[in-house]
Amino acid sequence: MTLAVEPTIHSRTERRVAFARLPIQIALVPDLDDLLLATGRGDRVAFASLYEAVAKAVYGTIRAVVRDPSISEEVAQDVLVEVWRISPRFDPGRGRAITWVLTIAHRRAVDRVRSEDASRRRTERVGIADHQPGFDSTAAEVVDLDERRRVEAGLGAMTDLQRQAIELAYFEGLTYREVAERLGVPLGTVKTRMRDGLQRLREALGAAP
Amino acid sequence: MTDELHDLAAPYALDALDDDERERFERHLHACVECRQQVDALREGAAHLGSAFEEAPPAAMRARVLEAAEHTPQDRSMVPLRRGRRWSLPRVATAVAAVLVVTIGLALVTGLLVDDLTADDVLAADDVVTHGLTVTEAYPGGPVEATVAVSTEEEAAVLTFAGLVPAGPELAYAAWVIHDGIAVPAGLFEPGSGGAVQALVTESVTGGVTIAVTAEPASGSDAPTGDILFTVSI
Repeated sequence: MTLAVEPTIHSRTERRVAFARLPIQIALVPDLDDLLLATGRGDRVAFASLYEAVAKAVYGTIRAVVRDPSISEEVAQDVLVEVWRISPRFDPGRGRAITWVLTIAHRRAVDRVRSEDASRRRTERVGIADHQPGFDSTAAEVVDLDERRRVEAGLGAMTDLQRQAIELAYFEGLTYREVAERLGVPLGTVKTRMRDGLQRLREALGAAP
Repeated sequence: MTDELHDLAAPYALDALDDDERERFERHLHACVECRQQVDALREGAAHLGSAFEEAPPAAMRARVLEAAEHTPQDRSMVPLRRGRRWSLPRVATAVAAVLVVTIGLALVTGLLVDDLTADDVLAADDVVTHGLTVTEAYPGGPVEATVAVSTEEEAAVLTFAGLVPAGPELAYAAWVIHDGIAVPAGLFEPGSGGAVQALVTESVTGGVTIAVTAEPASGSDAPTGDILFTVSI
C-alpha cells in the first residue's frame, strides 16, 4: 500500500516551509552570491551547497600559502566555519561572494604562516630547532608547476617586477616591507608594483567592478 | 599621513601589512570611501590568484565543517552598511514572492527568501505595538498616513503608508535604523497605487532606536543624504 505523499498545506508559514524543502530551490539558486546571502540568513542547506562550490578554491588558496597539507586542512576547516559564522556580514555591493570567501581564507593562511615563522624564529633563538618542513624559505618551489601555469593567464598580464612583488606577498605571506627588503627596492616602489599588478590582473580577468 | 595610508590599499588587499599597520589601515577604511572602493576592486584580482589553485580538500573535511557549523551561532552583531543592490529582489525571491507574499504597493524588503520574517509575521506578533510616524516639514507631499508596527521580540518593524507621494525621479524612499547616532540602511521602498506601501524593517529594531525615512538615489546610499521625512523613536 502506498500512502499519498501529496502534502496538504494549511497556512502561509507551512507553505513557506514546504517551499524551502523543494530540491528545485537549489537549482534555482546557482549563484554564489545568493548562496552566501541565504547562508547569512541561517540557511544550512544553502551553506552545504556553498561548501561544495567554494571548498576547492578555499583549500587550494590555503595550500598555496601554507603548503603543509594537514595544516592547510586545519586552516581551511576553520575558515569555512568562519564563513558560516560571519556570513551575515557579506555585502554583495562590495564584491563577489568568492572574493569575500577567499579574502578570509588568504588572511587566515597568511596569519598562520606568520605565526609559525615567528614561533620558529623564537625556537631558533634558543637553539632548539632550525628546520620545519613546509615552512622553509625554499618551499615556494613546492607549488606545483602545472597549477602555476593555470594562473599564468592572469599573472602574464603583469610585468615581471609586478608579478614578483605580488607573488612574494600573496604566496609567501611577506609584508610589503619584507618584500621591499627582499628585492632591495624602496617601499613606495613595492606598493606601486602591487597596486598596478593587481589592477592589471583584475582587468585581465574582466572582473566585475 | 593620509596619503601614506591611501597607498596601503594594495598591500592590504594582499594581506601584506603587519598587524599594526593593518589595524591602522582598517581604522582608516571606516572613514575613507575611496580606499574601501579601491580595496574592494583590488581584492577581486588578489582572490583570483588563489582561486586558480583549486584543489579538492580531504573528503572528510565536509562533514566536520557542517558539523561544526551546526554548533556555531552566526554573528549578527556587525551588520554591514548595505548598498542598494542588497535590497533589490533576488530573482528567485521574485518568483517565490509572487506566490507567497501579498504586499501593498511595491515594498522592496530585505531578504524575501523562504524562512524569512514577513510583514504579516510582525503584524501578528504577540508584542506588536503601533505608533504614528512624525511627518517632518521636509516631506513634499500633502496629507499622508504613516504608522509603524513594532515587535521588539522579532526586532522588526513594518512601516505602513497611505497617500505617500512618489519619492521623485531616480529616487526611492530609504528606511534607516539609527542607534547611538549610527544610521544603518534598512531598505528602499516606493509607494504603490494610491500611495500605499508597506515596508518591512528587519535591522535590529530594539528599544532606544530611531527609525527614519529619507529620499535617496534609487540605487541606495551607505548613509542618509536626504532630509529626514518621517521619523519615530522606539
